[in-house]
Amino acid sequence: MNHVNVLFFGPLIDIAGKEKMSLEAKSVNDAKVQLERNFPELIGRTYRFALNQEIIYGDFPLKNGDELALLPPFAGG
Amino acid sequence: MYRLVQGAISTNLIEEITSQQKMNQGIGAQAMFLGQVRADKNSDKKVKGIEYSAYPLMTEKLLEELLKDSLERFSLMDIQIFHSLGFVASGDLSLLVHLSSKHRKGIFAVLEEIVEKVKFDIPLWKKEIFDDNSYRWIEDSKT
Repeated sequence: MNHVNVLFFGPLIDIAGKEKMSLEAKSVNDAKVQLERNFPELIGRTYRFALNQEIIYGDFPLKNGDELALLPPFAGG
Repeated sequence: MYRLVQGAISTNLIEEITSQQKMNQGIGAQAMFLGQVRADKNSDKKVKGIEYSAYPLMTEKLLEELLKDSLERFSLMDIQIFHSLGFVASGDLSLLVHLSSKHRKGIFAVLEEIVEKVKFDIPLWKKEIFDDNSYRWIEDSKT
């Protein structure tokens, strides 16, 4: 299994109750299933994943030490 | 250049940036956008400020790409973007975008496009802090 660092941002910090955690996951979809099981309020929320600071679409395999961030809609300015 | 600033953006920066442009006498136009924290009211509570947060590595990478792309696409002579992180009180500045170019033509449209990109394409988030210290995340800031 791969040890992945998960980061939460914006309103998702309140849902997770923390800014980061670690997870054992083999793919982004696997991580998503686990995260939504742990934090059911994530279901139905709008957010994207960034893998090692790159926004990704769809499933990707995860490697040991990867950084997976959950990004709610951006709101700068 | 871009810079993420802790707290409010100082109004002294406005004079500093505009003065710097004297160094390049090929410049014929400067345009600047200043974003100011508004003291909105939500039911009976008033916004005392906004707390900004970022995904530092990714935010810096995307700001760098935005600068590079904008300089190339719009033939600008200079772009400066300053954005606040942390708490900024109502009435203070949280965003400054400054452009310099040879001519004025098109500069306002380019300025608007860059400001919109900073607001919606860069990983930054904000929460309104009310006068009773409760807060609300801003999730749709298209207004």
